[in-house]
Amino acid sequence: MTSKNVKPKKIILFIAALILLLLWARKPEQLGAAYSETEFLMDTLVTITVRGVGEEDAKTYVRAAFDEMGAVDEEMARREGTPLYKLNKAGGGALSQSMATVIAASIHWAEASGGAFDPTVAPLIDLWRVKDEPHPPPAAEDIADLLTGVGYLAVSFGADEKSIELNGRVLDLGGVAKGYAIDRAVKVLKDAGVGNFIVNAGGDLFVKGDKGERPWRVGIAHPRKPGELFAIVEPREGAMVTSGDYERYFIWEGKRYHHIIDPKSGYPAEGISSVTVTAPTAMAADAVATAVFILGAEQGLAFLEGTQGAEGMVISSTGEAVKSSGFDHAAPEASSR
Amino acid sequence: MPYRGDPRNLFLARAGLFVALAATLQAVESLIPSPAPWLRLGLGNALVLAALILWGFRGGFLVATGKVLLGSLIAGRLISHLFLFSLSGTYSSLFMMALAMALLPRMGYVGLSTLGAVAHSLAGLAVASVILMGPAVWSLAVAVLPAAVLSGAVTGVAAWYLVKLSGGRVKALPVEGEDIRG
Amino acid sequence: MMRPLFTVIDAAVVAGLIVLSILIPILKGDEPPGMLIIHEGGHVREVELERWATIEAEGPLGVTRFEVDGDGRVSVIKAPCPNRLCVSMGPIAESGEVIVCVPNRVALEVAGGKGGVVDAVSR
Repeated sequence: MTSKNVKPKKIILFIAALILLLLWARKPEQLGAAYSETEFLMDTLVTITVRGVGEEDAKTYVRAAFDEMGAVDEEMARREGTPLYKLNKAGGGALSQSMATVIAASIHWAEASGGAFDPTVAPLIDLWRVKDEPHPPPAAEDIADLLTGVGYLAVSFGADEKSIELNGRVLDLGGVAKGYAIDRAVKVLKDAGVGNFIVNAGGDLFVKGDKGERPWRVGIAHPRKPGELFAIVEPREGAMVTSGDYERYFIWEGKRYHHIIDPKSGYPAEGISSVTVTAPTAMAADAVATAVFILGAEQGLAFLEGTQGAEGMVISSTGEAVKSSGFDHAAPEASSR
Repeated sequence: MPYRGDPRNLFLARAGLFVALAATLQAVESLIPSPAPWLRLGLGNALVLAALILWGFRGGFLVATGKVLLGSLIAGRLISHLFLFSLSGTYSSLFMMALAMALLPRMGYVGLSTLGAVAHSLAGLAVASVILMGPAVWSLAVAVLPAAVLSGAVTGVAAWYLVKLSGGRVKALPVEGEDIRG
Repeated sequence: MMRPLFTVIDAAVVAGLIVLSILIPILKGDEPPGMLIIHEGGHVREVELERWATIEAEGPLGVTRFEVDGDGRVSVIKAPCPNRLCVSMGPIAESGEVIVCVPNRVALEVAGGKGGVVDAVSR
C-alpha cells in the first residue's frame, strides 16, 4: 500500500475525529429520566419527583423524604392519639423541637397578617365540617359562640418556646404543618444531594432545579373550570402554594361553603376564588396564602407586597387575576405550550 | 508500493476493515448514553454507503450484514429486541441507497445517505409500533425524521471522505487478474 | 465517473425529505394518547386514555367508578365517599391533573398526552 492508495494515518485521524464528533453530538444524559412516587399522606395525595440521580438512589431518597413527611403527619395531625391531639386536650404542655417550630411560625404569621391567618380557628373548622357530606351551614349563634374561643393572642409560649399554654384555645396546624412536612422532605432531598425535584403535597409544591431539557413546569389550576389550567409557570427554586375555594367545599341550597374560615367572622372567607403564593419555604407559602385568601384581594396584595420573599397571584371571585410586583420574576410564565 | 498480489486479498482486507469499523462505530454509538434511543448519528452507515460505492451492492450488503451482526454482538444486543431495530434499519437503509444509486446516477453522497438515514428511521418506527408502543409511536416522527435528515447529511459527507481516502478508484469488485492499481 | 458529494438532486432530495418528515407526523399521528395513572391504596396501575371506557377502582369505602370519554377526559361518576368532592373535581384531561378521593384512597392522575406540558399542578 502506498501513501497514494490508502493513508492509514489519515484514516485513524478521521475515525478519531468522527468519534469525537459523536461524543460531542451526544452529551451523556443517562440520568435524564425523572423518577416519581406517590402516596396518600396528610389527607392528600403526595407525589415526589426527582431527577438526576440513579434509580436506586432515587428510590432511597424519595422513601426517606416520605418517611420524614409521615413523621410530621404522625405528630401534627388533628386525629386522635397524635402529640397535637394530646396537647390540645391537655390545654398545653411541653413541645418537641418540630412542634415548637411550626407553632412559632404559625403565631408569627398570625401576627404578621393581623390575625387573618390564625392557628386557633380549629373550633370553627370542626363546626363547619366541610369534609362531610352536604349539610346545612351552622347556626349564626353557634358561630358567634365559638368565635369567642378563637384568637391566637391568648396562646402563650413558655421560656425558650419549649412549652406552651393554650388558655382554652385549640390549635389546628393544618396547612402550615403540611408546608413544614414539605420543607422537611426538601431538606432530606437537598442533604442527599438531589439537585432536581418537585415535592407535591396535594398541589402545595416545592420546586428545585429543572427537568433537564427545560425548567419544571407548574400549572396553576383554574378556580372555576375543573380540570383546566389558569396559567403555566416555570417557578424558580422555592415553594408554591395555592389556596382556593374550589378544592374542599360543600354545596347547600345552591351556595358553596369552602374550607377557609375567616377567624374574625367565623364564615368562609369571600372575595377571592384562588391565591397562589411563592415563598422560600412551603410553611411560609401556606400561611401567607391562607392569610391573603382571608384578607381579600386588595389587602391581601398589600400584605404580599409587605412580606419579604413572598409573591403571589390573586384570582378574584369575578375571575380577574392580579399579581404582586415580583410574581413574574418568581414564577415566570412558560414561554411556549 | 502498489499491491501486486491477488486482488481478492485486497478486497478482503478492505472489506474486512470496513466491517470492523462499521461494527465498532455502531457498537460504540449504541453504548454512548443518549437522551432518546432513536437519536444516533449512525456513522456505521457511512461505511455501508462507501462500500456500496466502491464495490457495488455485494460489497454494501457484506458491510451492512457484518455491521449488524458484529456491532450488535459487541454491544451485547444480539439477543435482544434492540437487534431488530438495527437489523431492519440497516437493511432498509441499504436497499434504499442501492435503489437510489441505480435510479439516479447523478445523486451525490449527501442525498443517498439522507435517504438511507430516513429509511433507517422509518423502519425503526415501524418496528417500534409493532413491538413496543403501538401507533402512538408515529408522533415521535416529528423529532425522529428531522434528526435523521441531519445525521444522514453528516454521514454522507463522512462516506464521501472515506471513499476519497480509499483512493476512490476501485469502483467494482475486482475480478481475478484485473489490475486495480489504477 | 466520480460520484459527487452534493448536487442539485441532493438538495431536492434533502428538501423533499424535510417536507416529508414534517408531513408524515401530521398525516399519520395524532398526539400520543395520555395515560391515566390509577392509585388504589398502595397499588398503581395505568390505562391508556385512548378510548371510551368505564373503569372501577377499589378503596376501603368501596368502589369508585370513573369514566374516560372519547376525548381522553376523565371524570368520577360514582363514589362511595361522604362529600363526593371527587365527582366535582373532574373532568381532567391535561397532564399533571389529578382527581383525588382521600376518604377512599383513590387517585386518578393524567400523564402525557394532550398538553403533556406540566410536571405538577398548584391548586
